[in-house]
Amino acid sequence: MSNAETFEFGILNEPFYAQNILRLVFKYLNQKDRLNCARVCRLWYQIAMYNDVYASMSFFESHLEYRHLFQRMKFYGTKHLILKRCHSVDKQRPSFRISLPQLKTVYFEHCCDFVINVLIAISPNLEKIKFCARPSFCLRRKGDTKYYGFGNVRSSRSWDVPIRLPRSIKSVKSLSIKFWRGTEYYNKLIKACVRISKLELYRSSDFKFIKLSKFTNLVTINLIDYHVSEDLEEALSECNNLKYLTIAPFGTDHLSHELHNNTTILKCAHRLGHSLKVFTWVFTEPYLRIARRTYATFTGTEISSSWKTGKHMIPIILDVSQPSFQRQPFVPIDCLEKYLRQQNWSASVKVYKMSEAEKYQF
Amino acid sequence: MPQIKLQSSDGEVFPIDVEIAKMSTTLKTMLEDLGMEDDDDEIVPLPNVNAAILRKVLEWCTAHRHDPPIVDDPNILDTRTNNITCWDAEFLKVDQGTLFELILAANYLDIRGLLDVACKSVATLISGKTPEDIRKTFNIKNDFTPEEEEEIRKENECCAEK
Repeated sequence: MSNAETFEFGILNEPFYAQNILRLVFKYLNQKDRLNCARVCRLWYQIAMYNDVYASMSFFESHLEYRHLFQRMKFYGTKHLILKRCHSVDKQRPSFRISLPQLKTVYFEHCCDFVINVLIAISPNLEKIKFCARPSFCLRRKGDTKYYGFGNVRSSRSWDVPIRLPRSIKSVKSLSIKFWRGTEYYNKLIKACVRISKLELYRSSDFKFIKLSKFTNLVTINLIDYHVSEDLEEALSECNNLKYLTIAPFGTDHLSHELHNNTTILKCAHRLGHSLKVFTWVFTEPYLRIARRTYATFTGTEISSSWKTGKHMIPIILDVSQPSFQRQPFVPIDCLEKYLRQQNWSASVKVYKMSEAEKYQF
Repeated sequence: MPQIKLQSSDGEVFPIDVEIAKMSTTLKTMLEDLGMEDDDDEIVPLPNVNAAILRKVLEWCTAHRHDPPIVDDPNILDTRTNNITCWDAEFLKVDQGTLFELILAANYLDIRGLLDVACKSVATLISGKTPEDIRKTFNIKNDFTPEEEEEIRKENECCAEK
């Protein structure tokens, strides 16, 4: 201890700093790093263990033994779980006997379907599910002990008895799916979540696979980078209680397609006019050409010079509670500007950078 | 442009634009609740922030005043740590003490953008490191006995990556 340096310990040895700083920083660390922090010293261990280190668990490209993970989650009362591209190293099928009443939100990215199905079955209070990319049947490579969550799907089923998705998932209120193109699994999942109030679809195509009229609690629908199709109007008109609708159509290079899509969207909004409170219409890149001509003047909002880079999305938030909207027939995009001005609409234009807009939407 | 005056813990007064002050949710709420916007002579004391840190915070706010607001939803917290802009990276090239003070100030003033980027830069110091590396980085004394350390390691094993 004669060395002077050993006495000069860092600022994070002090409880005040350690507690306040680590509490904030832990949010940005994954599970492995948080556990490493717990091993640094007694103070950090206390902070890590009592500061919700297990309240939110996230795993990225990890090899997990789910049976043990679920037990841990029960033990620590985990509320949020994030699984991204995780492999399963389970040797036995996970047990259904365990229950995770604390689990509220889950995020899956490229996960084995059996993990998702088990988790949903054993979490009675799950409120929010987010999916990115479709789940795949788990498979095992020859001579390998690990189950892979993604890869060449449908080639083999690992468990002798497949674990199915529950028929109805009543606790879930919010569901968001990236890349839903009528995948059978997602169709079943959406149908099972009978009490959802919020549905978000990202890069998805059409609604012909589900009947929205069955979801009586559905209040919010967000369609991001959505491939607008003819049946959208019909599908949405079945939602009697829809209050918030966001449509960000997937950009196309053809002007005629755009005009066609816009007409469809306007028709949707018009048909829902009686119940809709806020209609957000997000214009993606290819729309800028039209948008510039049509909207730049109507808002009077200064649009910055960075406009030229074309990397912007402009959510136009139209307040559809205005009675005038309900009387008027739909208008083509060219006339919208004039129309809005005539109607004294409270429309606001915000300019977001593409990266910000992603954060804003998803 | 209307201005307000902020006073740091060590007494220095900073006149700043209201627009910039409003990037701090704490100040924004304060200004709106107290209706202080018209009153130029009012000085807002900030007992938790010293002059050096406040100057840094205001520098960041001035550079980022045209940023769109961050939508406050804990579920969409952007946890990627690799998207710090060059300007921010340069701005955060400070000693650890200053960095921690910045985090505390950003947390106190509730400036989401600054808090985000400062926490991320601390997170990058931690991520991917072994406990020993972390101790070295932050100069932390290991007060575990070897037995305790082994015990925690075992306890954590089944939740860690394999």
